[in-house]
Order: sequence, then structure tokens, then C-alpha cells
Amino acid sequence: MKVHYWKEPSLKEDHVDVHYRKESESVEMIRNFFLSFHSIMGKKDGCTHKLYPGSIYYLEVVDRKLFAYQEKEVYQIEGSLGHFLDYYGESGFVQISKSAAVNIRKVARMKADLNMRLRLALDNGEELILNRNYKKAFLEALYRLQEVYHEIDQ
Amino acid sequence: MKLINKKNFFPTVCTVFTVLMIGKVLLEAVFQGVFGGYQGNVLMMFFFSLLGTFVISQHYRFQNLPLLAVIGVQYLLLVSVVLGVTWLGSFVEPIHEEGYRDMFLSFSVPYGIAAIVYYISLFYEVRRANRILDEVRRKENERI
Repeated sequence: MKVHYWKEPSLKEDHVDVHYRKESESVEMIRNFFLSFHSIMGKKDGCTHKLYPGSIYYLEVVDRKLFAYQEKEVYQIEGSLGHFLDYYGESGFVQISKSAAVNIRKVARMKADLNMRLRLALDNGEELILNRNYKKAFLEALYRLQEVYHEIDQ
Repeated sequence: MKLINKKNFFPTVCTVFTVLMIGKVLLEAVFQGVFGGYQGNVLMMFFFSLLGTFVISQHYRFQNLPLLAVIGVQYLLLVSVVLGVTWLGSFVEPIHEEGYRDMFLSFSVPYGIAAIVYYISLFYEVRRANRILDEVRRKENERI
């Protein structure tokens, strides 16, 4: 897939056009990638903020409330983890336990300790536990991501 | 609709084979009065298969416990059942003096091998995942 970048200072707004011959995994991936630029509302200290899903490192349900963790900030967002994954699951969010999901693009390393417990080290230094029940789904999402990049390279 | 496909071909073969074997042993026992060591072994293998499958099916209940602890406790539980069944069997038919040792080894060796294979495969998966994460990271950086 050819990618061109045009710098045009006279543009009123940045925009992206995707030209494709037929639907493919990479087109779907691009669509989902740009979906992550859609903003959602997050609440913190009584104020509402605009969040981009791509900036979220992970999500966790605490006391039936859904929290989105950015690099340093934490926001409460509306809806359930399931609904969030339904909408943004293909944008790189993968469930890693009953109450948490991670943005796969923010995972730096995967670690296994001697107890065979799997941990995900994130770019911001935090570590999350990958529940064994969700290991398969996480690895499949990772393999899909790799396939898409291979497809784009071709 | 295809009743048998790639996914259920081998499970179907295994099911048919099991039904035939158990059916043969039971029919021989009922109609011909034949029930010796061979028939007993077949039923015991069937029982251990049921037990093993049941234990593995319960894995999801222990997701929050360290896997090594689960494997250890599971091993102790299963080896107790195997030796217990052997002991119960000794009331029906005498056990060879090395019977308990043989049963212990017959169970422990495959269990140990399976645990080691699982352990190694897990670390292999982690290594592969890290390679992909590095590759994805590299390609994303190239595109920025």
C-alpha cells in the first residue's frame, strides 16, 4: 500500500482520504485507526474532558464505574467496558481480565514470571496482569496487527 | 450443512472409538461373562480420561491463582485419586507389589512432561509476542 504525505500550510483543516480497490484487513485497520480519533467524554474532578481513545492506555471497572487511564491522568467515562470494546475493540483495545482492557498499541513488553503469571508492561511504566482466560484473545489481536502491517508493506 | 468438518473430525473419531471400545467391553462382560485384566484396564483408562478432562475443564475457576500452585495442587489431587482407585481395585483383584509405584509413574511422568511442555510453550509465546510488539513499534515509528 502506498502512503503519501502532503504538507499544505494553506489547508483549513487536516484531512485523510483513503483510496482502496476492495475491502481488506488493512483498510479495516485504517478505518479503525481513524475511529480512535473520535473523541469520548471523560469526567475528572467534576469537569468533563474530551478524550481520544488512542490516548487511553487501559480501562478498568472499579465499583461498577468505568475508568480510562491515560499516561498520567485517570478519567471516569460513561458506559460499560463491553460497550466500549464493541465500539473500539477493533481499534486495538483488548480485554485482559473480567474488568480491564488494554490498548495493545501502548503495550511495550509482555512478561511471564516463574508462576506463569503474564504481565503487560505499558509505555508509561505501569504493569497489568493478563488473565490466562484472555491470553488467547490478546495474542490473536497481536497476530492480526502483525498481519495488517505485513499486508500494508506488500 | 456438513455434520463432520475439519474441526470436529478427530473428536468424532475419538468419540466413536471410545463408544465402540466401552460397548465391546460391556457387552462381552454382560453376554459372555468375560471381564479380566484387559477389560479392567480399558475401563480404568476411560475413568482416568474422564477425570483428567474434568479437571482441565475446571481450570477457568482458578484463573486468579498462580499457575504453578494450580498445577501442584491439581497434581496432588489427581495422584491421590489414581492411587486411591488402585487401592480400591486391590479389593477386587490383588495388586502386584510394584503396582502402586507403576501407577504413580504412569501418571506422574506424562503429567510432568505435559506440564514442562506447557511451561516452555508459554515462554515461547511470550518471546514471540515481544518480537511482534517490537516489530509493530518499529513500523509505527517508521511511519511517523
